[in-house]
Parts: sequence; C-alpha cells; structure tokens
Amino acid sequence: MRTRIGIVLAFIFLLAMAVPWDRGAGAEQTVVRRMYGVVTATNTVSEPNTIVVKSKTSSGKDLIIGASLDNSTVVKRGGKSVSLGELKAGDRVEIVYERNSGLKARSIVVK
Amino acid sequence: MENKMKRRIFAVSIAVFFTALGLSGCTKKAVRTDADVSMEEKQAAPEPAPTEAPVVEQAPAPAPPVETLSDVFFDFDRYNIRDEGLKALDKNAKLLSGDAGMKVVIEGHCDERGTEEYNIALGEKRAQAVKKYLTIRGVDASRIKVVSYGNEKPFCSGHDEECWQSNRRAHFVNQ
Repeated sequence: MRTRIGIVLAFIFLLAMAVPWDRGAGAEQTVVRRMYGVVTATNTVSEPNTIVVKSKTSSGKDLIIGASLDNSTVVKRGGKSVSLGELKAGDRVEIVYERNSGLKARSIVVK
Repeated sequence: MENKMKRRIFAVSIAVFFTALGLSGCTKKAVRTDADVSMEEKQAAPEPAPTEAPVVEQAPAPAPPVETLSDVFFDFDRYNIRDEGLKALDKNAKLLSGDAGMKVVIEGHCDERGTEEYNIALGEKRAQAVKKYLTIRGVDASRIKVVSYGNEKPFCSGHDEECWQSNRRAHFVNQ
C-alpha cells in the first residue's frame, strides 16, 4: 500500500515539474519574423524612430506591424542603404523584425 | 408819611422784581454755553447720508475636485496588470465602494498593431483582467460591464511607442 502511494506521489511530482508554470508571464522570448507589406507610416521624429507596415494574414485579414528602429536596423532601397525618411507610404517592403517586449525592425528592404 | 414810605418800598420792590425778571430772561439767552450750541448744532445738522458699505462678494468656495476613475495601461500584447495599474485600481475600488450607485463600463483598448480580431480579443482580456481585480477588491461584479474596442477607438493616432502605449489601456466610463 505504501509503495503504491509512493509511486503515485512520485508520478504527481514528476508531472508537476514537467508542466511549464505560467509560461508567458515572465520569460521574454525573442521571436524573429519576416513579413511583406505596404508602408503606411514612418515616424522619424519620435525616439526611437518607427515604421508601420500593413499586410494580410493567410486568412486575408489586415495585419498591422509597427516596429521601432535602432542603429543596427538596416534600411535598403535598390540594394543601397537609405534612411528611414526616404521611405514613403505606399512602398512595398519586406520587413524582418524581432518580437520581444515590443517589435524591433532588423531590416527593411524596399521591393 | 408812613404810607408814603410803604408805597415807595412797594414800588421799588416791584421795580426790582421786574428788573430781576427781565435780567433773568436776558441772562438765559446770553449764557448759552458752547455745549448747548454744539447740542443744537448737532440736532440741526443734517445727518450724513448713509453710505453704503461696499459689498464684499465672497468668492464661491472652490468645488471639491471630482475624482475620476483612473485608466490602466498595459504592455505590448499583454493583459497582465502592471504595478502602477494595481495602485490605480486600488484607488478606483475605493471610489466605487464609496458610491454604491456608481456603475461603470470598462473598455479594453489596443494599439494599432495586430489584426482586428486579435485586438478585439486582447482588449476583452484587458478589460476582464481589470474587472476581475476590482471584484477581488470588493466591488460587485454586477456594477461592472466590459466591452472591447480593440484598436477601433485609439486615444492617440500617431505611429510611435508613446502613442501606442497610451492606446493600450482599460478605460473607465461611468454608466
């Protein structure tokens, strides 16, 4: 009897250890994503600078991405590096961004 | 001779009497004192027109500041309530507890990013999280309604983090 109770308790303990408690609450996982879309706005006045790109999901729904830029963000047009201010609303871009506590653009390439 | 004498004395007496009487009348007029004059002058002098005292209008007492229910702000893509949000909600719970008739709607809002559907769901979660906390703090759940606007009703229309932050909120509206 004691052995069975011990086995059950050990099983419960192992199960409890395996369950990720509150996975989303504290841990900040950096996820990198790539998206194609149309520039709807840029903000070169705010700090940090930001870009808003509109796209469609696989189900056809509008998806808006707003990402901040920093010194490491690469912005290119025709293979050449340009500043964010040279991008205009309506430009088709490929944006690679990382998602952490917010969205940060790694690269923006005008297509 | 004796009669003559009596008549003289009588005549002198009368003369003295009338003289004294006359003198006494004159004396009365002549001996008016300054005090009498001043009394008469006081009586005769027209009373000064009553001057109206300047009306000092008292400024109305300043109305007590109306305490409003504070909004709660959220991190990007989150619906957990931050520390400052908890403090604001503690204050809101006190206000609601002090006015049993007050009913509120909690609106859940998101920034422009994401899809509409996702933001509607996220706004709902934000508003529900706030409602749950208030009920834990003793506010009757029947006094609180919840609605999500997602990113449909932004408080700020800019495209920067400051603006996005101000749009990620649970907003209180008195019902």
